Amino acid sequence: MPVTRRPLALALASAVCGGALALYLEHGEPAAVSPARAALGETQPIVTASLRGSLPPVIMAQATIAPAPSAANPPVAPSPPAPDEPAAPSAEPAVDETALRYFARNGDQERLAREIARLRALYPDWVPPDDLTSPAPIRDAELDRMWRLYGEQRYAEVRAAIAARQTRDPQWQPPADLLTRLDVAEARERLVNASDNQQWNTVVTVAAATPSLLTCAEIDVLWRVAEAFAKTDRTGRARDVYTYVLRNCQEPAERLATVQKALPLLSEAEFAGLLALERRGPDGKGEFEAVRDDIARRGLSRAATDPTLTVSDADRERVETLARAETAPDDAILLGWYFFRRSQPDEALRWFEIARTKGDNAEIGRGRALTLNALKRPADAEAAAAPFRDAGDDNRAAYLIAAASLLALEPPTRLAPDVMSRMASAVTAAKDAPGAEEFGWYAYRIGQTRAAAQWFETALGWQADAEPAAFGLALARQKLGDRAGLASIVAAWSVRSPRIAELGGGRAARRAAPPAAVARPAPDAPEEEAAFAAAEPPAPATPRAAPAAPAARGSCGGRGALDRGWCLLDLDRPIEAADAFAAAGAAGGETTRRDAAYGKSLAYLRAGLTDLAATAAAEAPQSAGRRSELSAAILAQRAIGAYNDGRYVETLFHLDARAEVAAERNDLLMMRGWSYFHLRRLDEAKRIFVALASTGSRDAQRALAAIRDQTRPR
Amino acid sequence: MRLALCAALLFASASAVEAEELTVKDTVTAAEWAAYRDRFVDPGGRVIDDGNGGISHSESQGYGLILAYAANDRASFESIWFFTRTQLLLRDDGLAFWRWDPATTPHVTDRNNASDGDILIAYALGLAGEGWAEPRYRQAGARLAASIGRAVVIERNGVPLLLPGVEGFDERSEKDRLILNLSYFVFEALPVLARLDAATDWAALGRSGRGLVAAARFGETRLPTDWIDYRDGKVSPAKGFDPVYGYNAFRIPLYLARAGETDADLLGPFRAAAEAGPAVVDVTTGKPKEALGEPGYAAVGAVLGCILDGRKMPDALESFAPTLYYPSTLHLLSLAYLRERHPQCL
Repeated sequence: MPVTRRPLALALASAVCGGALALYLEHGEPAAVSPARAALGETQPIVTASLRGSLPPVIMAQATIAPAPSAANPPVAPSPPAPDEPAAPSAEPAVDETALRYFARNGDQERLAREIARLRALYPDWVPPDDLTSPAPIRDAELDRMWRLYGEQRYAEVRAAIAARQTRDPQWQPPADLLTRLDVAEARERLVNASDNQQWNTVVTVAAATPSLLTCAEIDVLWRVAEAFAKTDRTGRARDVYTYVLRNCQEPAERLATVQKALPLLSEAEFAGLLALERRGPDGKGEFEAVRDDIARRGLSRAATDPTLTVSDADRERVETLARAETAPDDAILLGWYFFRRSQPDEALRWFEIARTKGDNAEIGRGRALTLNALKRPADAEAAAAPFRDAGDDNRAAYLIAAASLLALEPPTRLAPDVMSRMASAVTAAKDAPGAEEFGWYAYRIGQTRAAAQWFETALGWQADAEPAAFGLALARQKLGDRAGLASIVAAWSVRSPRIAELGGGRAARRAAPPAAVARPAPDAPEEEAAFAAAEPPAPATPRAAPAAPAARGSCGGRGALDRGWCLLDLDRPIEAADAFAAAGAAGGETTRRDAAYGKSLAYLRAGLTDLAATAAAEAPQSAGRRSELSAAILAQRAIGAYNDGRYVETLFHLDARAEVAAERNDLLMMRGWSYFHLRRLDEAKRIFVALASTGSRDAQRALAAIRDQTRPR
Repeated sequence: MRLALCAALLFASASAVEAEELTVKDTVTAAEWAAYRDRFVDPGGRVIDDGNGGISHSESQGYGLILAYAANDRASFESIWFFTRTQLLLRDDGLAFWRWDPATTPHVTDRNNASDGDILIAYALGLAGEGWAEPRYRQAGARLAASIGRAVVIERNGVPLLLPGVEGFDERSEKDRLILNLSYFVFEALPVLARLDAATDWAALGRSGRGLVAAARFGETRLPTDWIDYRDGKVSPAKGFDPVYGYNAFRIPLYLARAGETDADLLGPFRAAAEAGPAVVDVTTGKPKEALGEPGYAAVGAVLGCILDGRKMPDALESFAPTLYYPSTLHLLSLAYLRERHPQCL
């Protein structure tokens, strides 16, 4: 059966060709791969018979692969193929029927059929003997045992038996057919084991050295070889293998499986070439119909990650139909992601909702959250993500995104305590610095400055280089009048952040001079912090509550409540002091109650809790002097607070009220001037700054320059 | 230590006379081999380490091949070789997976190689290729030797060194630190590997290994540990490993002897350890941690006694009966050596 040897490409181009797959390995392949290529010339007519029962045998003529002749570049593959040289075409073949008889005697019909087909293909003139089923006399019991061992796949023992016999009888030669089969069986074992252990180069090397393995009868080997090519970035070669299968192999299940195996390994274009080899049945149905769904799914899922890819309407509609019909949510989820990543959140949400009706899960929750977030519905997004926020990193991240968006809403909305609580615990558990920062801004904007400061500080603790958090902290400290705290932030950041430097060096730091030096605030005022009661920021540096105060800070124990209050205030622990004053006021007489109220008011002032300070001031009648002192301090803090929030009219209102009880300090005068400035009441601003500048205030001089800039024609 | 190593290297190169190679073939009797094979080799050619839960490894396959050749049993060699190349010798770099467990799927439970196993296999293939004039073995041995040279023979400070495996022993694990195992230098194999593969200077590797043995003398017993750290030419007991002269290092003197080493200074500490009774020795205390009772361990001591003192092997050790895989292997290699080189000691 002379067959002209052709290069694989040609062989594969011919639909009628039934050649075994020849592996072309180009020169310059990695060293571990033997540089082999198909030699031109006669094809060795080794044949592989197919297959199952009634199918006609498909004859696989094979192109032999010869190692490259270069001696400098020897193949590395163990056991180069040593099949016997094919007999010259003209020679009379001696048909070895040993195996045939062995299979017949053992009633192994499948192997018998294969062997008949094999011998027929090998020797076209050969006719199977009639007496196969009647036991032929065993001429060579030892050889018969070798065949039996071979049939039982006990190849090591066959090798041992051959060697043992040759040791006894050096003249004896095993049948060439047996040796060839052993070589092939061994190669198959090596190839399969190498493939199982992901030694892809070994797989390719063994395959290249054993072309008789690369036939339709060894479909599993072909798949493994294709995989080895694909896993070593030779998808073109992988495609060649799959193409070979689809051109030559007949078994429908194997053809379908081939396409399924190729799908995840090949590129779109390479895969498209395989689909073109689809055969249609009498009903017009393509044999790969079952895989078309997977193809459409893959197209969609790839397009979801790579927006440059397009998906045909037909493929998308196919998946949509599947998604609606199926009980499982998977395809609907796929569509959700596809539309989400294609910036069609409405469509995406629709599909995630459909998916949800088929069985909710973490991925759906994540998809809905991100989609709702994209639709600017962060409250819904947070609610969608919340049930799955602990279901892995992706879901945690989605939840934090939704939470951050919710906190960032303008204007800030009032959030339910349970929402605040779970957001805070999620941010804290994840040590999510952006989340903590967002909490900081939220708190800052709703006027809970101390909580804001603590969240910003927390954010910085988790991410030391978070400039926005540092900026927020600086603003919060400034607003709280925490000059030392502000200074430390400015010192740490002024080089890196101009806006923080400005906070420290500009007017802001100087004008904010509350009556009592306010140290680091301890946020636990019950009313003001109501919104954050459920969302306690983790204490970043100092313990929040008094009982945990370290001994090093001094002790005010063993005194009366009033004394303890003053003592604590001296130690700059104003919240504890306020508690002590409250206790004193509740228990004491008239004078004590007055002193306690006064102390409590001062304590709250120092903590920056202005409203509470005002309430405390009103708890008991005070002397005129104390009344003025407290009022002035309270009004100054209110003015500062309003100014920091940009409420300049209100600032002036508080300043005016304060001016009635106390003379206006220079820093408050500066604030008054800037308030006029921001309200575009430049004449009034100028008057104040001029007055201050005349006392030598450089801040006022700079302010005058600012006014000049404002009034200069542009 | 560095000076010591340099001196040792000089000494080693000066003393590494080209000792006559062992022929190996026909040095294990048919009866001995049958007893070993029946105990440790299954019909599929797997050599079973019964002291390690019945696993196999490239070392056991390598020893099995060498002993089958020593017993001139081509049939067993064929079956062991079949298992070796279809189950282990599959790595992309041409080396063998080192560990194979019958109880797991897939059976290969560690895809790293072990350089001693690779060397033993290549050595056996080289011996069998030459001794039985079988080109298949020689070709396979040549490919394996070339792979070993490429993958695990490295050069540091101008000296070739043998990494115990491709993964996990070089400076990628810890800067400036190599982890070596001196029992992976199978000295007797190196001249055979040199004939299989010309690309690596196997003789220099042998000199380097002997130099390391001369330098790695730790504690009062002056014994090497199984694993040593190699830093910038200096050796010390390997951090993170037991500081013991243990199962690994125990075969170093046997390998030296089989490679023709007779130097009393180099072999001295090993002889002293053997005379104290075969044991795993903690080199930091100099005290035995675990006695090694099987006769195979004592047989190694008998080899040293023969070489250095001309003593006969005790009668009880002359007859082989399998115990566990590893001491049984040492026992046969010891007997084979005495039979070929010092029959007067038997």
